[in-house]
Amino acid sequence: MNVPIDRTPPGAGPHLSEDRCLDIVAGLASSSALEEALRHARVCPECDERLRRCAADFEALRAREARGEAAPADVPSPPARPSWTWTDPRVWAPLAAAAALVALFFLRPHAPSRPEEAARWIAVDRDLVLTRGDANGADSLFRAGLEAYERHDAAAAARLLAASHATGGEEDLRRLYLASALVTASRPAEALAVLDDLRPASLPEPWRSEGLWVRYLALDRAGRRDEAAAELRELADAPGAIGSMARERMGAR
Amino acid sequence: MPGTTPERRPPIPESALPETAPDALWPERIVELGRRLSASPECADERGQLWLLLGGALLRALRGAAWRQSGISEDDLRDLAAQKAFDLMRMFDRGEWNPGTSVPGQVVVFVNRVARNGLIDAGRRAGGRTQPLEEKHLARPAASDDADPGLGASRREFAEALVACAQALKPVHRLAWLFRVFYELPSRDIADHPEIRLNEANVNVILQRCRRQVGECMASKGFEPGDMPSGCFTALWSAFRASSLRSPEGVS
Repeated sequence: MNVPIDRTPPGAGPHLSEDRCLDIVAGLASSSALEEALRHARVCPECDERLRRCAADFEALRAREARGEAAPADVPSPPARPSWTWTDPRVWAPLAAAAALVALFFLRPHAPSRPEEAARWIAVDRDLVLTRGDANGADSLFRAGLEAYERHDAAAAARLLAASHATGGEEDLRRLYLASALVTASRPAEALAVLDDLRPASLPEPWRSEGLWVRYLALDRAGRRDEAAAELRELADAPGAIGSMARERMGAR
Repeated sequence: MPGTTPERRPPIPESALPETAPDALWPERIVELGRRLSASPECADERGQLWLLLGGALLRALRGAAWRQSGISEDDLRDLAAQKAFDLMRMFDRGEWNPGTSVPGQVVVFVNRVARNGLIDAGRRAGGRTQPLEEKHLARPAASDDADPGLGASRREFAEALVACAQALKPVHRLAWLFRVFYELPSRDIADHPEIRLNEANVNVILQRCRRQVGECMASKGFEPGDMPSGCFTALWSAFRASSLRSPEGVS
């Protein structure tokens, strides 16, 4: 199929404002307005660039929407008609027994966190991590540390990342992965010391949420329960998987 | 926080916020979606549309706020817009804000304010490294350079060749390639995009293949892909994306 190329001579159409670009990429412009705008943008470098940036923003938002970052947790789901009632003992008896077991578990005095609670491994996209900062800043120890982290070898990752050096944005990520490895290796106090020099909230996603989650785990495992609970409440407002985990964890408490 | 001195927000003059064109359609659409969702909150498609439009409007305001924040990247701005759109949706769900009961002008003012405050807070979290954007950084439409007919012709030829080469790619591959080459989206966003839905590793392989294929095709036509002139984006977008817009009915 041949795609028609508009050979209309460049007209003196108006420049595209940010608003017009947003209307276009959101599919709100009428076909005649769209045609006029595109005819102009083909010959106007500024408008071509503005439309490109707006379209890129829109598609990036669509990707975030698809990841679930657009769906608040408390969106009411359509009610389904139950085929049972709560007065039916066949329903509440097993639930009551399960609830009693759960309560027994949580009421144990200072029950230590289960090891698997800490075993959340942050995804490593080495290309992305190592290009966030100065491309020459990362040393081979940093790369080796990330490799160990990818292998889920917490002890080796903690050792290598602690000894490594990075600059710029990579340094923030080095600290994040180091803190995560330390928590997983049951060294929460050291993880908190690393996180003290890092503001997870200043990181871009997904590392921001991951960093806050690591901090929550470290506080929890270090026995600082009140601070951990406060952190968890903050996380429950976060979008995406971390927010879901936090809400689930809060619901379980 | 107890015991801390409240920080004073650096002033961002109202005049620094983007002026909204009187014929802009997005504010009206937000009002309309607010009304529809108030009547039927479970409409998932309209929720998605409202979130997207709020995110796009916030990004427009963030970019146009005439402020440059050191260390805030494109991706950070998009994260900030997504987060603020999420916050607005929560406010909507809790009944604290309903665009359906506003007029379009009020929506614009509110969205601009949310964006401005979000930007200030983000700057503060990043260590307060904010500085006003100088006039030279503000994008201003320039006159089109079609005063040089030769330049316009060669640009059109390049764009035609690129559209023809991209046409030979499989649709999903072409979309992934478009997202990377023109939108500069990271592989994760491309992989998660609802029209792609692949894993990142596959996306990277596809992109490599597309780059090679398009490069060879352009070379066979006597062009170097690295010489891409302006106007190419609009040509490709017109050819491959304009027809897939979400609300094809359009509003005028």
